[in-house]
Amino acid sequence: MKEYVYRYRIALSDTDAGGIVYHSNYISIAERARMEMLREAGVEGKILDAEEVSIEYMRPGLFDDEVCVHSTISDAGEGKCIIRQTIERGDDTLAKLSVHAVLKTFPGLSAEYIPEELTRA
Amino acid sequence: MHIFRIDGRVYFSDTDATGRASWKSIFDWAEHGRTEMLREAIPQRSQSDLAAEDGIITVIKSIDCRKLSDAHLDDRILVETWMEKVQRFSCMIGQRISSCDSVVAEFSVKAAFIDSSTKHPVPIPDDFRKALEGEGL
Repeated sequence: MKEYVYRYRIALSDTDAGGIVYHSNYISIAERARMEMLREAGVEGKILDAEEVSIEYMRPGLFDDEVCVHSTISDAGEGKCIIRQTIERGDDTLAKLSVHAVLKTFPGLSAEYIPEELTRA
Repeated sequence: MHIFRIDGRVYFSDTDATGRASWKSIFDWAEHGRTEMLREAIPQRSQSDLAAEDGIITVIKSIDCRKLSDAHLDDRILVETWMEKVQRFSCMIGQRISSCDSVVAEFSVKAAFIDSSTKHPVPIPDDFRKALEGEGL
C-alpha cells in the first residue's frame, strides 16, 4: 500500500493557551495531507468527504515543530475508503487518525468510485 | 444522567466551499460544550485557575466522531454533553450536535489532566473529580 507523506510546520495559530497544538487543528492538518494525497495520485476535481473520524492524541505538538503526516488509503468497497494517518515529529508520533470517507466530485458532491491509482502501491 | 446543553449558530467562519460546516468547527463546537459543562460543574475554579494554581491543564486523549448530517450557514445548533465515566487519570464524555432537528455528529471523547511543564498525566484533582462525578453518570 502506497504511503503518502505531507510536511507541515506548526504555526502559532495552530497552538492554544496550553502551549500546545489545539486538538481540532490536527483535523485540518490531516485534511491538507489527504488533499495532497489526491493531488500526488493525479486525482483531480475530487475531494475525500469524511464521514467518521477517530483520532488518538499521543504527544503534544509545539509551535515551530516540523511534522510529517503519513497517509495510506484502502478501498473499503461501495465507494468508501479508509485513510489511516499518523502525524509525526521525528521519531515521535503526535497523533493517529482513522478516517472513513467517500470520494466525491467538487463541486457537485457526487459520489465516485475509488480509482485504482489512489490505492495501489 | 444530566445532559448539559448549549446552543449556537453556524457562521461563515464555520463553513467551507461545499457550503457546509467544516469538521474543525464541529470539533470546536464540541469543545465549547465540554468547557461550558465543566464551568457549570465547578464554577468556583476555571481551567485557567487550574493551570495557574496547580500547573495542570486538560487535554484530549482521543475522539471518535461520526457525522450523520450536515449543518449549513445560519442554522441553529445544539450541543449536548454528558459525562459517561470518571477514572483516576481520565474521563469519558459523550456528545451530540444537532441542527434543525437532525443529528449532525455524535462524539465519544476521552479527556485527561496533565502537568503543564512535564506534559505527563496527573490524577484528576479532587475538586474536579467530585464535580465531574456529580455531572450525572
